Amino acid sequence: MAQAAVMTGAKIQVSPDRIRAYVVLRPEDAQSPPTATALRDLLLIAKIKITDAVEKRLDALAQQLRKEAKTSEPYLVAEGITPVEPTGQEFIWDGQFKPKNTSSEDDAAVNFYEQHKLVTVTNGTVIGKIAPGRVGKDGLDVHGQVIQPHTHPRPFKLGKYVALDPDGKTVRATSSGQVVLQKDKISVHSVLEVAGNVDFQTGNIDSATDVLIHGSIQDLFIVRSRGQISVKGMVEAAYLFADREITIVGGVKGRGKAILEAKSDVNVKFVNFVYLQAGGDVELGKESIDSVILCDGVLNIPNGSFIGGQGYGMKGAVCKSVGSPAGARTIIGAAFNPLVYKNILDIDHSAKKDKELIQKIRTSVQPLMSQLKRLTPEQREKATELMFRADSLEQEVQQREQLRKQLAESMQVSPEVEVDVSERILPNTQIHIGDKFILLHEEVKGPVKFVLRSVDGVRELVLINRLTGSTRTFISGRLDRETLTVPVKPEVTQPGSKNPEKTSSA
Amino acid sequence: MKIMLVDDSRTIRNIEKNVLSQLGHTDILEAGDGVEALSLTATQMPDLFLVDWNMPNMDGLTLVKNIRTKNTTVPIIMVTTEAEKSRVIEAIKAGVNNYVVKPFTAETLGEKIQQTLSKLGIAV
Repeated sequence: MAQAAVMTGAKIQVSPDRIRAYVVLRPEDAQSPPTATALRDLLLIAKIKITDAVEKRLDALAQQLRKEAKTSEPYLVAEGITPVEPTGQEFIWDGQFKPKNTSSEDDAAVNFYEQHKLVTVTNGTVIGKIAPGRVGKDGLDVHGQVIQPHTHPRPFKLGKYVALDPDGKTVRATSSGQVVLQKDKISVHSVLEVAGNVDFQTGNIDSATDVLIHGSIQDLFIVRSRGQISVKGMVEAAYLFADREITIVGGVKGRGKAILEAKSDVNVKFVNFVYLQAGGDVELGKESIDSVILCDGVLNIPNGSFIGGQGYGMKGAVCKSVGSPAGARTIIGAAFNPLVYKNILDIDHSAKKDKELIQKIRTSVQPLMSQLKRLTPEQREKATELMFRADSLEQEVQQREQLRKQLAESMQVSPEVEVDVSERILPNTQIHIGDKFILLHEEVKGPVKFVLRSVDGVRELVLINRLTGSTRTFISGRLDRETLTVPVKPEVTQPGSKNPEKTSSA
Repeated sequence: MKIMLVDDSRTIRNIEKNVLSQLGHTDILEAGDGVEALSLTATQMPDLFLVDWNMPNMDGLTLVKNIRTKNTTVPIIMVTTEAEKSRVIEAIKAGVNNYVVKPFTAETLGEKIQQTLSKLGIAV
């Protein structure tokens, strides 16, 4: 108790917050308790404001004390009004960003990978609303003095790349990025940064901006960025999709499941059982083991090995060594994409069949057309159908041939395209340039390069020794439906996911 | 422009549909015989009919006569295997505006449609 006024028989105590005043009896005076007048005097001495409520309490207390005076308990005689403390403005997330409810009644499997903890937005997205806080109110102490609220909360602040709508409540992103909500401030960071690993703490990541991961990416997580993805750690059997570059300081241990897809360059230390597709160059620091690499630029492993699997650079391939010491099948190629080539072969195959069919139809309709007047109604009907069938097939064939032309142009071999190996190529390695290929049965020592040259009017793979300049021509095979090895892209699957995600190629 | 194709052969209807789509017409109604065509016209009258002659339930000629009792102006093209001159005259008398004999080519059908519509002063 903060204050006390003492008289014979009793004393007044006031609580530290000055909201309550009590009468406390002294044990030695329990036999002769104070009267109501004495108590009133005592309150006046203690400067307690005597209101009607206080009077009533005093009378009640005096009456009670006459019956039974207890010395152990303080008696409440006066009570002020506690001030109402104001509260600060509150940020309320927009519905789309609220955590998903995973009710136990829902018997469908839950995809925990999708429980996003990081909120990302695109420019213009409504992030949430600012709810007004509670207004403070003055109080009154037992002396009749005003008590002001103690706290003065600061207004909610808008940081970078957020703005208030004209309604003064709605908060909207003015840039794409990661939403960062602090105690009393909200902002959007234009780079989504993950301080640690991508795991169940973060969930899958789908960002409209660049993504920077300081740790590693764990098994089966999906990281998608409309910009670039940079990973400072390792990547396990995860799925990375970037509209620009992918850079991984560590390597990728894909276990046959990992997919890296970038619309631009990919730079990684090593890939191990990975499916990698890039719209630009692929640069590996160390090696590729049993992986599939398809890139529209150069496949570049100048200081490392390409061991097992298939690797193709549309603009060329550079490696220190190629092939597997254990004899695992290894294909390295330039100006070639097996997926595109498969389409070309499929078009050729179906076009050939359709052209035969068109010819057959036209041959059967010709005699009918030359004697039109003799035709029965059924024959006329049939002739109409057959003519249109042939016409429509011909149109389809033309469209497919147009597509084939475009595909073939995308795989055109320029004279400077080469497969360059500085150290050695091990046996059982296939070299592809364009649609031509050879299988090496013995080791080739580097530095060498393979190029495609016209030899006696036939395009063949030619081996050039970079030191001596000597050349060796190989009788090259042409890839067809039987000899072509088409790489299979792994499916994106996550436990609990209702549908395996279909992903587009870079 | 809403066009109704009346033919018991789905293949022929598809062929006609392809030709019409090449001419820029995609608002197409289809009927497999005269009865179906008449019930469709009860709710929506097309702007052009392509009608086959020989069909089950109700043939093309009966259909044309029925349409003409209600509507004398909507253009009708008979697309049929009936090549006899007398049959053509019969169809014209019944109220068809033009006549295409099967087998026809896309060009022939396209020309006949345009010819019919421009004769009636309908923009194609």
